[in-house]
Amino acid sequence: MNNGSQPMTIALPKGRMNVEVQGMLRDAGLPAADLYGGRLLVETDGVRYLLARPSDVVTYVREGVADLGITGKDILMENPGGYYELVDLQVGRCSLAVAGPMPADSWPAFLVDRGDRLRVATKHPRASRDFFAGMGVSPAVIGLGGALELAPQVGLTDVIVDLVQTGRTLQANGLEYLEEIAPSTARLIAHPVSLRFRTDQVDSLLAELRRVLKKNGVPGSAPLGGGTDAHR
Amino acid sequence: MNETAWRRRVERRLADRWQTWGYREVSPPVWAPWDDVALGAADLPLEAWKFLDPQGRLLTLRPDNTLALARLAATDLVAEPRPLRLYYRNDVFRRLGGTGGVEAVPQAGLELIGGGDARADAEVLALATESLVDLGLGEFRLSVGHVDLLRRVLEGAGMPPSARVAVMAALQDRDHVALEKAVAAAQGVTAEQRAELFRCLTMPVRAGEREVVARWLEKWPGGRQSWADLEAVLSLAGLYGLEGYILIEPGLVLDLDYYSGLVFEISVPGLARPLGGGGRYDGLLGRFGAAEPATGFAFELMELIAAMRAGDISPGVRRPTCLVAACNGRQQEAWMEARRLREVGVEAEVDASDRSREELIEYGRRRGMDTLRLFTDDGPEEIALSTGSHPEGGPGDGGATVDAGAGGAAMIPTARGKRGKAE
Repeated sequence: MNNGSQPMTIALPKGRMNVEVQGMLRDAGLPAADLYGGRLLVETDGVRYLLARPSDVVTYVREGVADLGITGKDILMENPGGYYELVDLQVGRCSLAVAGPMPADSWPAFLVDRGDRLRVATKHPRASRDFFAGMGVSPAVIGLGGALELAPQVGLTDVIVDLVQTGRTLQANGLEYLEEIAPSTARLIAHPVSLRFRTDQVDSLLAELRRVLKKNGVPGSAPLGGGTDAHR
Repeated sequence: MNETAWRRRVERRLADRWQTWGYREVSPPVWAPWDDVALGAADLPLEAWKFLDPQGRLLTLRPDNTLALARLAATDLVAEPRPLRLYYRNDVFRRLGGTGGVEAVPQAGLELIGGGDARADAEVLALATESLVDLGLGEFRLSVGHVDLLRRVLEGAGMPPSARVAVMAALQDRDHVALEKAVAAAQGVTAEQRAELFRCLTMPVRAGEREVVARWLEKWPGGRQSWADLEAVLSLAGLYGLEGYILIEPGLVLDLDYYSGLVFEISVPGLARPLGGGGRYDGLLGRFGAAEPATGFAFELMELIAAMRAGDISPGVRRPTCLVAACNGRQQEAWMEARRLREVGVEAEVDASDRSREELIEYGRRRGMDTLRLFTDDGPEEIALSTGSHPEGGPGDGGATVDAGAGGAAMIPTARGKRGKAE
């Protein structure tokens, strides 16, 4: 079951995760992706790479244009359905969290006081609503495209929900890390049909990735499903 | 060729094929009582489009054909000898993406009601396969799972109910990362067994290599009977020559909750959504009347057509088309010519406007027609409108198809009299 005639296509995320992700794929035995100088598409040694915005990786995989894709768990939380989530690559680690212009220990009381009048700016409206709904709060969620740290400073919202890595940007804008919604790492996703028509290829890649994860000594990465010849 | 022409063409081929297996067509009503829908399947009532009848009864626009045929089997067809072999081709109505409006989803499918063993399941798989091969699709897969097998394996794996729920949710969400965590909750089993369970639930296995799955399942004796049932179907499928098309996926979970045994889904490379699917639903008929085993499947026609278009497939040959026009009182010649052409299998359209010659040529080309025949005072003239024939039914919506076997694209017989200059 291998669509051997056409190259396997993998959508890679632009931005902060890109270098770590490409490193993992090389460690897992895939050819290097020579995507530089503005190139968005390259084919090498039977593998085709696309470079896309992390949120667009999901679209390319859903539509079947990419067999596999790598993007952050936060993106998957915002765009559920239409793909298989195969493995946690354990890189690109960051935290989807609530942040705001107040001391962290005053946040619980602030939340109780504001209740449904709370205003939140975010690029992750779905995750934000789900998180606050879990606490019985239904805030006004304002979707912004970026530079979220501005919103509380000019009174557009009380707090923001954003990905936090080092915390430096928050600090630079006078915002405190208040509460984590969920940790986010890079995940490998697959087009459902690709799992059926490229089973052997995907299986081998998964085995290699799990081997790399184990070698990197990441906790909780004991290979559960890596393919071995014993199963063939 | 336009959507409707494609759809009718595909429906006709499927209907012909299914009739040769002894299935007959039924036309369930376009409405379904809400009570039936609520009886049938857990999620459907949310998605169904509801309205009231003049007596104030709550109805829906038919959201599911299996439910509709189950109702028929229990009422109009209750006295018919079993097994019932029925097929349908119509629309079901679903809500578009969450908060959207209603969408009509074209389907064609069949049900085998009263057949309770592997022979019925294998017949259904064979019909699905043969229909697709017949339509010209070369590359597709039937992914086969089993609802009861999955349930018993999880029970036998020593998983507390909450973990089993987590596993089912992860399988439904197609989230193998969450699945891995949920499988970790299996107690009293070795790490190796956990790994094998995970693998069994995530990796499709070719039907020809099913001993791999058998080895995995040896550890879970609860699943023995269900696996034996599934193996019986796979053996028969092998005898029918279907083995190459079948993948075994014990982790397959379909959306509807009335399935009780074998379930399957059909995939084609390059297409994001399945072409169709189905399975066994032994518990459903009993909710409408007497309990009966039943199995069946449905094709999603839009996906099927997309797959055929992507594969440049057409099950028939397009008839030639001709525009016939006349001027200055030569209308009768045009009418006679059109009649003559129709008798030899050409689709002839008689112009009923006052268009000039140039306007007629432009109109004919935009319609995608093959030829223009003009009857003027200078005699008949034939003008080729398209460059070369289009056996697939190329641009425009002209040209119904005849079945392949009626010969290639027929040549248009020449008009009586002088042949005009071709453009």
